[in-house]
Amino acid sequence: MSLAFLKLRLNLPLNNSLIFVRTFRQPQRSTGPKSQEGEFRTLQLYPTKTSRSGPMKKRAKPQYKEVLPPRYLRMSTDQDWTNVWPAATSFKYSVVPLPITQGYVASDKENKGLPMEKYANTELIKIPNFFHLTPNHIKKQCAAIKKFCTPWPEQLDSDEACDYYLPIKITTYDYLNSTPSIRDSRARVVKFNFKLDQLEFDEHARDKFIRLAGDKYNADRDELTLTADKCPYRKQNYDYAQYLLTALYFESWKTESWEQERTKYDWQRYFWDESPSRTRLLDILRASEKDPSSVNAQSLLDQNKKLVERYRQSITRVQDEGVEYELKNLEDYRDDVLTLYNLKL
Amino acid sequence: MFTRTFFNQLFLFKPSQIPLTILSHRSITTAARLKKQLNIAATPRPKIEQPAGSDELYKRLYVEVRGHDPAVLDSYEKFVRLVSTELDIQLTNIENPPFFTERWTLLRSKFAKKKYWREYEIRTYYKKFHFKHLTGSTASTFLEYVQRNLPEGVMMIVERVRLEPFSEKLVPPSASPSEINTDQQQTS
Repeated sequence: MSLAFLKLRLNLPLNNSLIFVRTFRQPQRSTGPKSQEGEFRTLQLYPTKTSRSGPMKKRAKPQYKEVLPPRYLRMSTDQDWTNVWPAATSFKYSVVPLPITQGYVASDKENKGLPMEKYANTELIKIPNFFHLTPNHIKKQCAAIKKFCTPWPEQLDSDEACDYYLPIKITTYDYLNSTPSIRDSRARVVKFNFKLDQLEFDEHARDKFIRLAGDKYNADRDELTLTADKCPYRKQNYDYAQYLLTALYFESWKTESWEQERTKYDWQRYFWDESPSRTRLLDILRASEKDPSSVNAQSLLDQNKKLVERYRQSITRVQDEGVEYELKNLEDYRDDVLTLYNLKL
Repeated sequence: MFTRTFFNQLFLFKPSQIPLTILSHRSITTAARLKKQLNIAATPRPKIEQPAGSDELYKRLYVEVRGHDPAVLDSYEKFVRLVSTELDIQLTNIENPPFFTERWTLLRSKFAKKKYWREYEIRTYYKKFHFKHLTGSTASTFLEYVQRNLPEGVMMIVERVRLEPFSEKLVPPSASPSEINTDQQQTS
């Protein structure tokens, strides 16, 4: 059958239906001299004796069934599209009332230089369409499923409130793809992320916790991140991460016997009370006394309590703090040393 | 749009994105920061009741879709925007990471003809929706609706960040072993 062409002209009639003007070209696939627009068509499932048209020929031409005119001709502009296209289907030219074209025409010889119409256009059928997701569709369907949604609690309106009430953040992943298998092994990964604010530590426990955590601890944010992906299932990884957290916490509170063998190079901060600086200071102060052996160490320090305290603070700050206040700390240290020994520069 | 191919994606990472191993590098400023944090007092934990069967709480939900056609992803974005306004879900951001292209240069002919080659490429376009503050039932309702209407040939990756409190057992261990024994007897 030849490609038919119907010219669309949109008038504005009272009954809101489209009016079409037939051109000189043949009407689209409606066959036979018997059927005309408006006449009642009898149903013919197969050709019968009475339906034969013309004398019998040797090779009968294939009898095409009568095809109804496309449905879009009988659509009104204020119809409910959600009833016309309720679910996702491939593009149907006869149902879509829009003059859609698709395809590149190279020259005037191809399709008379005109754009490719939607009739029998396979490219339009191949691409995904969203006729089942118009705003009316979405509003209807969301109204139906809205009852299953629950509101978010008001107390957790900010990130800080979330961190305060529910500090642990657990990240899980889900993968949805159209491969032959629905499984994705990356979905087993579970990540725990939390700040150490609400965990109770003493100084030794906190230091041990941070050392045990290693790379997983972020000093800028005071956050610990545990990534569990050893086990094949997500629940197993979640349980493993919970176990890790518990083990880390309780191990940090234990003090092993070998921890006493810690040297100055392992100190997490500068302990002046155990440092050689204190012994040196005592030696110097003892040397100034008349009878060195009889004097108690603590009493020596108590005599010059303020100066010793200042000296202790400045040397601790030099050792502990970083490059940011280095110059100031060194200057303070120099001044405190000079005042302690009553020297002038 | 700046493309990310197999080879040049290594150079797209800025130095700030590369994770620093703090303690092994022993940089002075981070070590100093650690020393300051050693004497932090713990904030007291608030008491929260979470009865069995209560909703999960998702602080963040990231939905990433990947496809070969940017027009399809744009239409899907319009759909997701409208759904989030209808279901009262906070859509904070829609991110469009640069597309990734995989290229091959293959011989045009089956046999010989080494002078003639053909260039092939596959492009993957990305789009990431950022949501925040969803309950478990809202999230599962929204995700089911949005996943049922995912177009053909589009992949989705959902990243959820759930909120949970610390276990009540994470308290400093009591000193005396007799207390521990009585606790064990009580629990058993």
